[in-house]
Amino acid sequence: MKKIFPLAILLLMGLAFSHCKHDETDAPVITLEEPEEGQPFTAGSEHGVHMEFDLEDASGLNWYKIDIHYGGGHSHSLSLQAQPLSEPVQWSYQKTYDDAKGLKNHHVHVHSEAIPANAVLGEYHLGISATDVHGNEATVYRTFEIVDYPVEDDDED
Amino acid sequence: MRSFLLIILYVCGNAAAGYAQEADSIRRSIGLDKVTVTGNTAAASRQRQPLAVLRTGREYMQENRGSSLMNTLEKLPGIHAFQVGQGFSKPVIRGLGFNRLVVAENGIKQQEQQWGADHGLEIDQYAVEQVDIVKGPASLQYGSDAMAGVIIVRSHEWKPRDGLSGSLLLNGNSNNRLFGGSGNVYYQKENKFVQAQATYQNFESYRVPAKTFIYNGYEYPLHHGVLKNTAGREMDAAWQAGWRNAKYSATLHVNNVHSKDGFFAGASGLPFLVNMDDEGHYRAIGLPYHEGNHFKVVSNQVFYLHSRHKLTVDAGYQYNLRREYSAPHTHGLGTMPEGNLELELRLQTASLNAVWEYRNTPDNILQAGVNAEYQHNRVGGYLFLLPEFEQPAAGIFVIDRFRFSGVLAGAAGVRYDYGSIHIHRYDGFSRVSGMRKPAGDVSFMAGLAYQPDGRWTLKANTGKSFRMPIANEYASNGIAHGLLRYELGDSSLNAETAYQTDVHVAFKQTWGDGFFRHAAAAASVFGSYFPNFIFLHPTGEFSPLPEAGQIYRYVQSRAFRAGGEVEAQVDFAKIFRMSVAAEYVHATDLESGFPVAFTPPLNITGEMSVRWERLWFLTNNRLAVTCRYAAAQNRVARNEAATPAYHLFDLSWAAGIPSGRGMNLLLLLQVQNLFDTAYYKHLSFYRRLDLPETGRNFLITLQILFNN
Repeated sequence: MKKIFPLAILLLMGLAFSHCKHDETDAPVITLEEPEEGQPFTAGSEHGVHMEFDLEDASGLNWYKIDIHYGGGHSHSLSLQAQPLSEPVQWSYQKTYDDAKGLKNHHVHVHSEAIPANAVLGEYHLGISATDVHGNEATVYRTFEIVDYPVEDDDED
Repeated sequence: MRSFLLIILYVCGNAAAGYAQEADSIRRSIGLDKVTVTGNTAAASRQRQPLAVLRTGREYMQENRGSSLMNTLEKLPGIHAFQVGQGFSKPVIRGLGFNRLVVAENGIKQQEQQWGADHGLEIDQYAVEQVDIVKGPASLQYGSDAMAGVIIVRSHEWKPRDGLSGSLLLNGNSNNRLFGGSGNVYYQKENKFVQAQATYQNFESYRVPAKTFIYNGYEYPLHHGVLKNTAGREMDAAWQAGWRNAKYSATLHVNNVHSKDGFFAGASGLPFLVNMDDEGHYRAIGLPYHEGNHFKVVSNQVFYLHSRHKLTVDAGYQYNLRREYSAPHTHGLGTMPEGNLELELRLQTASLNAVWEYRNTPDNILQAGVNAEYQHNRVGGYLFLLPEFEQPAAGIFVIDRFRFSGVLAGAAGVRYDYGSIHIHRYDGFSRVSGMRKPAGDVSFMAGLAYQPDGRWTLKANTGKSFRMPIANEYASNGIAHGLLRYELGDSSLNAETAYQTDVHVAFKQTWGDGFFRHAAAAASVFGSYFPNFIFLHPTGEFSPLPEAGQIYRYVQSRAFRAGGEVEAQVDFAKIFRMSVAAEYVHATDLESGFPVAFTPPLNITGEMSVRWERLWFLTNNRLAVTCRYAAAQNRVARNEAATPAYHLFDLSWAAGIPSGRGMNLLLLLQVQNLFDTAYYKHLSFYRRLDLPETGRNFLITLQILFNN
């Protein structure tokens, strides 16, 4: 009698395990090329933050999202300029896209909105998230900087 | 040290297995054992019920009191606490909880924001006299929500003697520097009683064995391991009075549970505004925080109409107020007319249960009852999560309990529920269209309990239960802080049904003397099939809110759940007790083949305890070492993090200090997480932040009983 019940449990569980069929569990792969880690951008830049990345998913991409927010920390200001006239703001920018829906590969080249001239200087976090048709989600992060000196724009267009 | 304890537990585990055979041989050789008659009629009737009922009383509470009611009950097999830090936790039975489980205090279903993982159970654990736990569908008596089970809490018991009595309890925890107390005064004369109770708890932010945590992909420091802003307060008061005679009994309970708790600053709002600096004020509660107040009036009446008829009427009113505060700019918003009031939920519930019991013969008892409930919810604050709604619901049921012979008893019943929800339209940053939606269905169950002798019990139960979707499943549209994700309701959901079968076998034996004194073992298995289980599913679409990831929508799918518990306990060498319990739940979404989220992993708990009647001047000493093992949970839903295995050790020592003149002192010393292990709990609010659970915690409880 004592052996029947553990056996019964095992049997039941065996039955249950046999149900598992793992279909598409892999999240999209995001390869972020630009910006580079620690890359500086100038406050007030019309071009905003330039981003280049590749998205890839075997079962088909769905949505992707760009999220930029202030990362705190110290500013790497080189000059000792006077504060901007207006109150500094912690810049934050979010945008979602669905133009990669159903694609297996997608190359993205986008610019954020213009960086506010009164943006608080210092570290900012960039997060790029993507989902596939099943809802598997992946995010990659990068830190860049907003500085108050001119930076050579390496973006060709 | 750790391996030494492990060895003890494993050896004991083997001893338990070996013992079973020995018990058989002893029985055969002696022929007929001495039979010790224990228990009472209530225990006997519990044993005849087809569903297993686990009863814990005052003694268990006194020897196992943790930091919250669920922390205290969590050691029981099949019971889990969905943890939110130290202060609060929610019950989970066999992997189901929230709105699939009923907590009834003094006969009335506790109405809180059951759906929210970050809302604790608003019950004062020091006011609890007795807890019954039914694992398995108990929808028939407790309403359609009791799919997973029911936790029945009683706050009053008649005392055997008249007079004035009372108790004063003082407690403290080292981890979050908690100090608190609870006082109780009770007066009983002949057929009347009156009782008053007050509780206060005050704690600092708690500490975890970690130096950093991760939020939105970035690592943030934890200074001294302190989870900043997790301090809290709790203030509870209760008053009860009652009267009884041969024909009638009535009890009135009035209680209020108030709490104010900080939210971990790192888990709310935009991460770049998270202020994780160590300011040193560990007891201060800053933004974001929440305040909850639960006021409840309950009356219990029993009319003994005739020797064969009994009518029980429980009526209750509850007002559940919850306010969450946070600065709007931490959500990327400007100044708001509501100030810092982010979310306000005002839920009022009126309930009425009436059960008529007809004792046809001692072997056939018929029960017929009605439950009615009306809910009224209003919201406020600058963020939207849940709409305003009204929801009337009612159910009628008939249960017949019968005994075929001295050894075989059974019960069968049927219930019909009908309810309708009226959800108000909301136009703001989020939008919800108004709707009216009725739902109704039949539940039924049938079961048998077979007790061939005093040693064996076999129970089997099968049935169907159903529940109506609740307001947040129909119409939520916002970030649920409990799970840190954007949740979207679906107004087209159907009621959820479940077909479940339970089998329970128990064996116990008592010997008058010899090495083994008493032994008990039990095994339960269950399997259930949900044709339309409601759960959150990722949509792949991103929320427009900066702090949220993708949107999760409530969907329905076929689901299968199965599992069970095995437990064994043996008393030996006069003073030792060894117990082992294991439990497992398997839950699969049959349409995708994926596991269901928040399913607890395999858990094994071993406990070794020693009891001495007298040790120096101390009485009733009990020293216990507990080892809790949780296996890794790798069966996870989409985007759910797997959780590694862990071992935890707890120590506890309970003792009585006799002081004469009707006064008794009880002392309880505990160490939870003895080795300060950094571990993750699969069922935890903080799992998504990669935050380990509470580190080592010393707990001390001193209870002074007067005439008690």
